[in-house]
Amino acid sequence: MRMLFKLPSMLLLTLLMGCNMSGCGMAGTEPFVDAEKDEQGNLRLLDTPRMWQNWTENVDFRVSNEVAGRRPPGGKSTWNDFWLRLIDENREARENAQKYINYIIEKRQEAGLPPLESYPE
Amino acid sequence: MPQAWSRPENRPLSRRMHREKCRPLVRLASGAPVFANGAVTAAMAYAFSSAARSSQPKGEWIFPEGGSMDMNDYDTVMTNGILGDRDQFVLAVNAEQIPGYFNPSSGALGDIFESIGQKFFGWAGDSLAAGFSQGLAGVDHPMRIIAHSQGTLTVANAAKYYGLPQGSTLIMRSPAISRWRANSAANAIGGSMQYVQPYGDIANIYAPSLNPVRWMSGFRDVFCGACTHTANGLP
Repeated sequence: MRMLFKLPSMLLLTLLMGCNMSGCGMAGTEPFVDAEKDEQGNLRLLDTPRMWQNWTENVDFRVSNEVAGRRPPGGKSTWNDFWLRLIDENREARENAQKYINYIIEKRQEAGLPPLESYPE
Repeated sequence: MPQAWSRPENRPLSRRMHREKCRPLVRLASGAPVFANGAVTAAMAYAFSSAARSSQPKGEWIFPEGGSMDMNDYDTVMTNGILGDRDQFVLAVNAEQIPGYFNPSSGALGDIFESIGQKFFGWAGDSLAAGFSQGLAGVDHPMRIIAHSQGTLTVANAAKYYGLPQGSTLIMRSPAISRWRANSAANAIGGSMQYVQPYGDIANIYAPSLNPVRWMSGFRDVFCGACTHTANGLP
């Protein structure tokens, strides 16, 4: 009986303490991405170690899929279309966007894949 | 601001899904997971299962802008933890070109209560897990499923009680569940699992392990304000 209340209480206590001390407050967020708003109020993803790690994991996974001959995600007809779309989405959405875009180009090159058509425009 | 495409959860449930959604009641009625303090446990389970059954799936599937809305066209999905911010989530969906199951916040206390329900009474009904599973119901290939914090509860319950694509890889970041439970969820769908729980993450406290040093390390994060926990989030 005591254990039943102990476990949820422990969970509640630690989460509340963590949230309170993080400054996220009771109406804040638990950010799953590092982002900031610019002067115009537009959100932008920040260039932080975890954002970079997530990016490299996802690009590596997709490059390996392209090498393996799997179809591109998102219903795109070719991998070229998919990469161009990804690059386009990240141009404005990220801090240091060129660093992220260059990673795609380099990893594809390392994997022996052909250069992207229509990039750079 | 980029906008994402979202699909309302208004599709009728398949027979399998309907059976799965009704399973919590059956299990509760049969009394399977009742402890010595059966009355209190059953009351709490009933409360959570009622909440799960009485409402539409709480989460929202969001697709990359201009991308396909057929889940079969994707190889990766993601879901967030407590206190989710929709604008940030939409940005991540578009920037990564990965569809996501957004778990909206009901405020800190509401989210924590919901997490407790998912963690201890997931078998009694979990509307988030049901919606997550429903979104992936027609997928014919293994998926890469990325979840953070409370999202790991959603994914684990979806795998165990509602079904996910066979052979999928579960990437559990700062999981609110033990390695054993995460493994059990992966095994339920014949898949694999990556358990990404850094030392010092507050989630170590409520995702118990047999390593006391690892468990204790979680308290460090309490004093820095869950900084390790939030730094291990979703793309």
